[in-house]
Amino acid sequence: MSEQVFLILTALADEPKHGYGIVQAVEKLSENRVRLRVGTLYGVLDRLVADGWAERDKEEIHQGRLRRYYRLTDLGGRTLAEQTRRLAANAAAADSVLRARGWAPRTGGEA
Amino acid sequence: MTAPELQYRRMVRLLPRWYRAEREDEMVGALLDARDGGRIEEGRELLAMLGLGLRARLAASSAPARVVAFGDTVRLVALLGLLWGVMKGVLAVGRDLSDAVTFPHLLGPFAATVMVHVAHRLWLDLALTAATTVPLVLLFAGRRRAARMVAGAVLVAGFAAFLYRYSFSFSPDLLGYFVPQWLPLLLMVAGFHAGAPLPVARKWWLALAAIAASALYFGSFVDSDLRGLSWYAWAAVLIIPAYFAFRRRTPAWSFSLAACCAFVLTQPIVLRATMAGAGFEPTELLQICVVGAGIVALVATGIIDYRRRS
Repeated sequence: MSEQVFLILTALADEPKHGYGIVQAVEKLSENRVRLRVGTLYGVLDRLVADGWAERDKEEIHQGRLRRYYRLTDLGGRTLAEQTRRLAANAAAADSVLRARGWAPRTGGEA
Repeated sequence: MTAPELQYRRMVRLLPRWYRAEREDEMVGALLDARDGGRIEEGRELLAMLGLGLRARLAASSAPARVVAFGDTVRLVALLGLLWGVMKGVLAVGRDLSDAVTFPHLLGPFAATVMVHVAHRLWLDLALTAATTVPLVLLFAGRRRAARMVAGAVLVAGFAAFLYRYSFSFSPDLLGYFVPQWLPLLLMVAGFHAGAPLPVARKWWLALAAIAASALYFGSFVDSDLRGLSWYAWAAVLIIPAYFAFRRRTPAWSFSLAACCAFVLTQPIVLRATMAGAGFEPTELLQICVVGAGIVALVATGIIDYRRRS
């Protein structure tokens, strides 16, 4: 799963969002590292919908502009949870190796 | 309609009509929202839209049947075209190896000079074989991004070498020879985008191994003095009826086989046409007629099967 897909799924896990809402949420989640272009976002959304990880929600007109909302499906939620568990396990393993080699600070108030 | 909306509607026109019918208003709304939020870089948005337009035109699912059939055809032409490249490369390597073993016995004192030439040819043929084999191997191993990057790099390197060598002696015939070699690489880069399915690895690994092994055998041990345009034209003569005997035909397979047979036929015809005073032998004319008729039949069958399915 690419970082873009992971961040978009995470953005949708919170609540259904429209296109620009997803762009904003991804920027916030990634601390401004990932800035999605509209063309890129819709390409990823197409794949998520085709794979059954996301689906269309409501539509609304806001200031004369169409906003179509997308939400996470149960399958998408389970996939995101599994990926999160895997990434957390990998990060924990890397962290313990780095601590053992002294490349990462030890927790517990050590100087 | 405001000026920015007009501009974004123009940008969205890079997408195919069927996609715009579904998404245009929503995407223009998102672009206008991004503009209002100060989060738009129009050059990058344009590039992203170009990429989405290409992916939508070569879609694999959630698209009209004709678009999926076109996308599947493009991906199959890429795979079959590259397999043809592997076949040509390995056959040439087999011949080089055969020459390397045979020449020292035949040429006696001149062997050393000739062997330098054979060794040079062997390295060149190995490089050409790798240029088509590596992208395929990476793709079958599931490394789509790496496969597309290597295919792109080979394409750029091949085009640069072509320009370097032929920029002062260019003739349109050259394109007839080189385009069939470049096109499968270009189609791999375009067709196997992130939204497209990877080929069924087991089936294609088997095809790659069988083609490489048989090409190496024919190149090394079988006399190359074969009548007709080329080995590949004879292969096309055999494959076309075999395909028609096969019941599980699909439009994508019919169209892609037709395209690959056209590649196979074009190269030797262009080569022969550029050779001064060289006409076609009756066997070669017969081959051209048989393969040409096969291509027409494949295209017609593809159209009929496509209409029957949609």
